[in-house]
Amino acid sequence: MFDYPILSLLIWVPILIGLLLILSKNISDSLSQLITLLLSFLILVVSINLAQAYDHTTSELQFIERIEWISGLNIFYYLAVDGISVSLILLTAFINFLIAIYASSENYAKKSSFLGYFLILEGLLIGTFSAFDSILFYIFFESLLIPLFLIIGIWGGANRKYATLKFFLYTLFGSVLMLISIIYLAKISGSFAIQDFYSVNLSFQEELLILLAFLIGFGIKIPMWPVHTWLPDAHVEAPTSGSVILASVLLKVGGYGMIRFMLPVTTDAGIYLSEYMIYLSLIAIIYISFVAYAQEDMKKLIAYSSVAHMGFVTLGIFLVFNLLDSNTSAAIIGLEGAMVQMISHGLISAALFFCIGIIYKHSKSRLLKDNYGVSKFMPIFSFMMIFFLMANSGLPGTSGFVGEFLVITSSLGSSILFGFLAATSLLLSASYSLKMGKTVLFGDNLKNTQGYIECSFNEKIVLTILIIFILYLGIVPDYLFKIIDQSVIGIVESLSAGKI
Amino acid sequence: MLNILFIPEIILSIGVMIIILFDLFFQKQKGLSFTLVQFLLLIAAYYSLNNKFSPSYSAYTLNEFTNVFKFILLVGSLAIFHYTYKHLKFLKILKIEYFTISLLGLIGTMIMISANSLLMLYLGIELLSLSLYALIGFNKKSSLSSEAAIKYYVLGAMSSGILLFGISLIYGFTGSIAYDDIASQLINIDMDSVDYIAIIFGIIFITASLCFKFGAAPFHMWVPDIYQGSLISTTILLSTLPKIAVFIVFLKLYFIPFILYREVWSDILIFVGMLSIVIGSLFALTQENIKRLLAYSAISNIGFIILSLGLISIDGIQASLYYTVVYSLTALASFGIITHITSNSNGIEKITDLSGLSKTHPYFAFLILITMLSSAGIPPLIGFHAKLMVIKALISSSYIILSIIVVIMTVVSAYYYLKVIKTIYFDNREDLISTYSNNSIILSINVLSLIALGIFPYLLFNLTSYLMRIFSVISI
Repeated sequence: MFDYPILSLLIWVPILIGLLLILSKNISDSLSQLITLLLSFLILVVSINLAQAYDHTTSELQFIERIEWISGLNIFYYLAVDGISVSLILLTAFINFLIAIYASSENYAKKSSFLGYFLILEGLLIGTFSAFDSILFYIFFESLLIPLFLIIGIWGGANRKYATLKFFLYTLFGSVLMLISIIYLAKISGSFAIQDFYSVNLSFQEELLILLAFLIGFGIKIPMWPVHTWLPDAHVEAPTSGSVILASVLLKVGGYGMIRFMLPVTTDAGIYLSEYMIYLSLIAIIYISFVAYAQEDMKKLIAYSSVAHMGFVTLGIFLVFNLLDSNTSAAIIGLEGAMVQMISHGLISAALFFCIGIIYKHSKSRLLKDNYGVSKFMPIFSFMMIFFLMANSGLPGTSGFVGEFLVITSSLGSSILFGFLAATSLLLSASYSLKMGKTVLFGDNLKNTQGYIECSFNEKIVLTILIIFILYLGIVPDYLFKIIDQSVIGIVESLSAGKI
Repeated sequence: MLNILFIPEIILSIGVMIIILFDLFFQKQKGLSFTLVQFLLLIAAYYSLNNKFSPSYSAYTLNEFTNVFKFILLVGSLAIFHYTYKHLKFLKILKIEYFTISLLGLIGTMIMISANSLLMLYLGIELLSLSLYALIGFNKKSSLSSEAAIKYYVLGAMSSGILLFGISLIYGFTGSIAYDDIASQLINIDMDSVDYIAIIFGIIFITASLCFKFGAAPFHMWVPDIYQGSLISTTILLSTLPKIAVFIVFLKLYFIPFILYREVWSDILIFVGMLSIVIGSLFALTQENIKRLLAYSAISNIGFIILSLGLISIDGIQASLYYTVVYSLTALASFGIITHITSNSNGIEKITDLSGLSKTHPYFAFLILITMLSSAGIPPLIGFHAKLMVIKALISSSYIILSIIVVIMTVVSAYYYLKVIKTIYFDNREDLISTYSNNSIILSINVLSLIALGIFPYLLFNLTSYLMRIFSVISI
């Protein structure tokens, strides 16, 4: 345990430093890089400490900070973590550290504010993952839009204005509906604390409506089919680091919200609708994989692949509803699979967006037809990229396999059909990943008109670290399981206990 | 310590005369005259907090509630005059008359707040309106300005007529113009009698006229034209002082004399509020002129205030108080920033005049970013908490469908606020854009308070709870 408010520090220090970086007029690029690098390293170290100190033998909330915030409305400044939060906080800190390394070798106009926005984003993300008061959660959840909006809008590509507005309005629309459900729940339970929502008595109809609001709110964030269309646009226009943080951490906020709100609050309605929601996830997995295969733009391809992979996350979550009555252990496996898939997708998609960013830097084009034969000029890079593509297609030994395997196992517990359909994803994701690898890396290219040069030291470091962790999670995922196990079991058990 | 009633009003009235005379003899000393104006406001603000309370049963009440709001108005005017002075000086049309007329309008708003009889209310509204007519037409060189002045004059005179008609109906059937008398008379009126219907008509006429002054839909037609036609400094005044005053009038009128008829006016207010939110949000989408855009945004904000008043619940009243304060702060900030920026030596008119501001003036761009996001209701800024309070009040009164419409409208309105941000941050431009002030401390405080109050919303929450308490003391 710590004798200082560790979560508040993790949230507010990056936000404050980020604001200073944005508002300071004459700060040199190198100084701001140094600050960002040191700070994000420090945050990574502190969050590793947090994970070490976290007592993973229990599903109780830990490191609780609870102060009355708006007394008349019963809103608290309530921070805490459980295993699910800890793993996502670790992911956030880790990815932000990699972005800080990567960005320090890049050139951006007004770099200090660029880095500042990322620091703010990091603080807000950690806040989202550790807020246990629903209004506080909503505030962090919603504030995330601001820095990302500006990152994409200021440093993005040609069509960025359309993409940013679409992204902002889509997600805002989802979250305001969620806000209504939160207020409604608070009206009934008399408190805004998320845990008090769990014991609220709702009529079935109310529960159904609240479930739909949560489904829309978090589903847009994840994003689920059919509300995923903002993601490819946002990804294509975002700068590399923006895409990385968007794919690897921001999408996870949706999954996290589902686990935190939807599962425990609207269990009965969820059980009622679980089959339909599972079909939605399967559509995301299968249909979007085909869409991904048809893409000409590398970023779009990976963006659609993200939607498909996040389909596994939602599948794992919805399977909990489906299996709660019949097969609790399969439900637990499903939820664990969803968690592992979130972390693993966080690493793999980050890696792939870094790779695309590196290729784009040389060829100034993200289209598959403009990029070919990279392997001849960038052998080390190509080795790494093909590894990430393999991981993306769920090769055993990489982290991509673990999550999908668990979710598929769990879905077999529900029905053979679900398991079969989910498993087709291994084939489909391999086909589009390898298609991309084949064209981009191994095409025939004698002239090198694109000007490919082997990637720089920073980039190698970033990619190597990612390889190490993807392999580590793929071969010995124990550490991750140790953190999330009790919390996942706690959630599922409290759900099935509530059912009886 | 002066120990008489009405000190702030008396000080202001006498001060206005002195300043007019002073300005007559020292035409060149504009700065000095302006300092006098500020000094006058400071004294009035000081005495408004330490004012003696009047006996509760009179045509003009002074109590803690009115004192706090007068203080807010006076301090707000200080900021407004600060922005105005710089703006007029830059446009080279600085005249001290502008401030003296504004001060007269300010006295009008103070009378409206303190009014405890319908005639006193009428007097205050007329004093305010007359000075606004003059202020709107102040920019004599612009034809839009004259058009706006005439439009506002004609419509305003008509609405005053409607107000008087409503007042006469109420007077005719209750035999009184004092709020408390009316309240006690209305109890005796039989639900089936003609009197009842006449009173309802009276209330509806008064409501229509007040909604006109408030700028709420469907009486909003004048708002965009007048906002566009007048100087930005007048627009700041128009979008803050009268709104606060009319809000207090709403609060006092409906919750003291007309409270028995709440079934009648509650539905009207909810309808007007919803309509204003919808119209304000939808019509703003296509606006190119920043003043028109902010005018529609004001309409939708007014809608939030009226809607939460119409709920007739403790939550609703508190939400409307909260929203009014937040709205005034935000309007002050957003118009205030625009007074500080010029494009090619002219004031800002079109939204595109602001394009590329973030490259040349990152700090001002940041300030606009904050105000726009706050208006859009994005946390952690204070605008979010205001909208949260209204939605919470709606839900606790079980208006779920309305709350869904309201939040969808906030998403719609987020679009045009984002459009402004988009123009500032993502667009480029070549020609000159400049700000004419190095000394923007008041503006910075104004904008940063939106962040600070957003992070510590309980400050404002406690203030409104306190206001609620003192309001319930006087209303019961």
